[in-house]
Amino acid sequence: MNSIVDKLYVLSRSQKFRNLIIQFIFLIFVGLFVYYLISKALQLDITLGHFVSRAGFGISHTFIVDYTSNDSRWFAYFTGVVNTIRMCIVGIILATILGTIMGVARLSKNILFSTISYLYVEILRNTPLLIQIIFWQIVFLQLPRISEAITFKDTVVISNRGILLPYASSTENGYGNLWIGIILIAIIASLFLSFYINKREDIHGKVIKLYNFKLSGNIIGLIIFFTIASISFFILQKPYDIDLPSLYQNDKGTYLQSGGFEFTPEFGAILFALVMYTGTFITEIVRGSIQSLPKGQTEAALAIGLSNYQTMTLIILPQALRSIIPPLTNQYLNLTKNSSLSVVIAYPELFMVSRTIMNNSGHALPVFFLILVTYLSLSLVISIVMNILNRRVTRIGA
Amino acid sequence: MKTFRFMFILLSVMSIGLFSACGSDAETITETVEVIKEVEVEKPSTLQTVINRGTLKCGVNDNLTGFGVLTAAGTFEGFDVDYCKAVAAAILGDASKVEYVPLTASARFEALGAGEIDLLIRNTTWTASRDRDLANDFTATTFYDGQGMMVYADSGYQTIEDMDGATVCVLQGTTTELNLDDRFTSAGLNYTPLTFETNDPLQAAFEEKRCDGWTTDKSGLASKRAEFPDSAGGPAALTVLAETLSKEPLGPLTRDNDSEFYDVVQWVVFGLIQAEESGITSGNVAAMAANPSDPGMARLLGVPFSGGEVADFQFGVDPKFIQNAIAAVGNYGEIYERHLTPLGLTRSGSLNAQWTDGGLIYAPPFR
Amino acid sequence: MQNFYKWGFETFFGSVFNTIITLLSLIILFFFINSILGFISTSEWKVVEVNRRLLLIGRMPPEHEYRVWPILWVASYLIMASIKTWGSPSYKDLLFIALGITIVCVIFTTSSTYLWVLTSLLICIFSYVITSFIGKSTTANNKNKKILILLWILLLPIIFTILLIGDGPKPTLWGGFLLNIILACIAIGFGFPLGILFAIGRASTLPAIKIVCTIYIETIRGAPLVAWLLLAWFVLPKFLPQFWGINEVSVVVRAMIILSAFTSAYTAEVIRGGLQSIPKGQIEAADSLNLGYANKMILIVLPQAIRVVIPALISTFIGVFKDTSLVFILALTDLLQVGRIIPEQDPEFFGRQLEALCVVAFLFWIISISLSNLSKKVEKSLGIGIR
Repeated sequence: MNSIVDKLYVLSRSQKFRNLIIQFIFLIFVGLFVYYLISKALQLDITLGHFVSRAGFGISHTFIVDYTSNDSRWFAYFTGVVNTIRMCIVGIILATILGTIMGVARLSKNILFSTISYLYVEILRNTPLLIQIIFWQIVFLQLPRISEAITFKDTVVISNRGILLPYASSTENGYGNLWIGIILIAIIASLFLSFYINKREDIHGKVIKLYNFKLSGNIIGLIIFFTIASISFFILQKPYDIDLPSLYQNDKGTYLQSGGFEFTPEFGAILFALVMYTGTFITEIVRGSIQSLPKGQTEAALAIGLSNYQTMTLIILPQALRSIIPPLTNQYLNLTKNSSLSVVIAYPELFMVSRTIMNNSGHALPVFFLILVTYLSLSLVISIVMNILNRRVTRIGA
Repeated sequence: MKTFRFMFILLSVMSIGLFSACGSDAETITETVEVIKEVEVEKPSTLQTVINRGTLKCGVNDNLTGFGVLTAAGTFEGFDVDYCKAVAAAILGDASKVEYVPLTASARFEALGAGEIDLLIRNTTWTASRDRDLANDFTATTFYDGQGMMVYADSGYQTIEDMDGATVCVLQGTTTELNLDDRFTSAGLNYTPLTFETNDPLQAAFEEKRCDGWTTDKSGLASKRAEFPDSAGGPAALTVLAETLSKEPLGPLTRDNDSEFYDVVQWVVFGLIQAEESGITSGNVAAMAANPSDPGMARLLGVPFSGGEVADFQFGVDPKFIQNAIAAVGNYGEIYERHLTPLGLTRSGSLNAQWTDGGLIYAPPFR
Repeated sequence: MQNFYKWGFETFFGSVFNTIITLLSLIILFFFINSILGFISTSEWKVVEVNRRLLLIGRMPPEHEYRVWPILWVASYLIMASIKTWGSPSYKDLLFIALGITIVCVIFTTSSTYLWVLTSLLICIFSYVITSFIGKSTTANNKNKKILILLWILLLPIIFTILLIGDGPKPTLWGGFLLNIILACIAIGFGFPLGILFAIGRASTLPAIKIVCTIYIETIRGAPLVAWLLLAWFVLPKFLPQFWGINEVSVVVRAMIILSAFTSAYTAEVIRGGLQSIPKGQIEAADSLNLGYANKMILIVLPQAIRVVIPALISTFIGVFKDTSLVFILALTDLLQVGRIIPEQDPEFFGRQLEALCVVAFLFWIISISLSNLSKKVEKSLGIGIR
């Protein structure tokens, strides 16, 4: 009898046992909470069955996908997702470029240049993004109206309905997709080839020479790519054509735009706002990383005769990149999430489309989970890409 | 790296949940729901809640001149807002006991369903799906509206058919968005909808001719047209096309299965209409109540006729509730005159004239 | 003088690259200044002038307006005293603060409120003077610090008492800038302690606690704030228990719940960074002293972890403050929402959205920039980032 009590006492004093008990109690509470949530959720309609029904509303910006109001709500949602992805990709690239330039500018000895960067960061970082989005919408609407649109020799049309640029479009012969496939293969092949040649040069010191002119892997890759691309282009009877934008009036007087790549004011406003806003944070990240490098790096680079520009691009930025990438990933994720603010001006990305679906169907909860899962997947993809990049960058240094 | 693995696991668990929700047996869920519903306690009626609370929570528009707009003093005014006041006056005896909740078009039904508001009067169209699917009850029609299309006068558009290829500005979360698509698709017309969450960016876009047309209820269009600034050409620069894309009867909504409150709201609406028919105004209501000219009027105002009994309809509120409402905001005609006539919405000859003048404004008898 | 010219030439036209940059910068600056001047010369501020009250306190009824001023007094006393005590401001900082206060006063003083504004100004000056007087003696200064910290902690309860005591206006009537500030204070006030808990939970060695905290943090961070606010609007009322009388729980409270949850997840991530930066020796030392888990955390780990991440924390808080403008999705009339709807009151205000937006942006900016300067000061005084 006594021995059991003793054993229990010893057991109760053991760290492991206590940890187990704490976790057990904790899990019970969490479990109760989750059970409560689920039981409440079951009272609501949590199926997504209504997503197969006809959407019934139009979407103004469709990119790649060909959506009409007769398609299902799933397809409408998908159109929204494509719009979000498009916004994110363009936004991330531009924000990175802007942020890097401004981050370098912030540390420039040229006072004018660093002042611009300073003003840019201090003004835009400290005002809500929503204000900036509305501001850019108003700015883009100040472009000439469509009846007074500016046209440059049928190549560019500028109005507040959108800026139209020349773009490629597939011709009638139907080899368009085949050519795209060939191009993709060509890109991969030439990348592999150039990697291989570069490696050979690095490790074995073997160099391919043509009349005393050294051919590096990059050049060979480019040559091969362009050869394959152009030869297949002509073999497939020119599957792509340059598509010039045009602006005309139909017999009722409606101005119609066709062809070309359309850059609408809504897309522009969101893009500008997101890029400018995220750019300020990237600026600060870049600046911080550069400042954290030892000063000796710059001095040594200058001492061996590199120019300011070369010092920056060859010595400083590659090193700074290592500490830049993790916080940069965070900013990319923020940009993705912030793109949901397009809901205020008419850019139909996934959040806006799902809001419309919520309104039309009246079932908010399942749509909300769908939104959550979509954003989580987007975040995951960005994290994966950035992690791979991070590993590469840190390995180069090591 | 660890974060990343967690996110992945989290994501997969969620997706599994989601897809099982997609494919799950609807019947099991319904059964569970029924079991849980049985356990739930009876909710108190909204009418009792309002009386106990002492204020009426009313969902309104804050952005539509004539129907509901937020003034610089921080108060609301408009046609719909007056109905809030009337209901408050009827139930609580004081038209100022209203808590206004400004709502966007896309958030209004959830606000009502969630109990955020007691009464929704936000130029809301009576449709079958809203009545049934969204668990609301429409009480009565206060304004017969129709969806219209506003275009610039110099565009030369005469009918919707002319608008092939046009860009149209429209508000999100409205029946208008769906009607617009129905109309254009069935006529085989191409169009680009620019869908906005709120009115202010929409208006900015229309003013800069970002869109060829602006579609919403005709009353809304009339109000926007009336206040179109002279610097941009004034009201004459705009035309509202003659075609009505859809029927849009607007009126107050209550929650489903809330008949006590529903009845009060419904009969306040009818009472104000009846008051106009009987010639009772906010100015003469006190005199009329003191000395009603006929038994019908006495029933309406909740006063005894020549020393007889007061006809109490057992609404659960003061029998004089219609009288209070009229005293607070006036009869239907007065409300209309105050808010909608200045916008250029002429009443005579429209659907919103009294039935005696050939309109649809008609109250069932108070008996 | 010769040197000056030489310096100028070298910085601006030292190389071809530099010359291009200088010219580009000049073009950008010219464009920027030109458009600002163009805007100022054509702007009309009547839309703001008429709606100043709406912008600041929203739909708060006039009879309750007096409640706002004591809050402003307490806040201005606290802010100025704290600036003096911890900020050790230079003349440049003081000039900046004075300028900010002046602009705000110029925008928002009307004939009916000038006495109130004047009182607040006097309190600002009084608090600064008296704190610098106290600061001369070390013991008094230490006591003063303690009082100030206590007051900061009590600030939220004080605000709520003043706003709600004796039949105050309903939370749904709070609006304008007041609402943004209240929401931000609540979100930070509740989100920060919660965030600490979640950060500790995530760094815990107990797998169950760790996993649950991680799921919470990553889920909240996974979706945008607007989506979460939408959840508050659509779904939250259906999940809160009936006996809380959710029908009476206002949408403002729901916004507070969501914003706090959101803030807690983000601060937890920041603090986790701080926890990771603590050398293992510190924890081992605490263990060898046989401190309990709570003592170890409160006395040893957290103070160091939080100290390291103060700048990051402040920028998270700035983010939260800016994000309070998203409550428009809950149909709350916050500052930005007011700024967006007032141009529609009157045809006279046609095309005056920019003026309204400007004032709104300025108000957000002045608070955020003050906080971000504070964070820089803290960074400097803690010696973070200097190697």
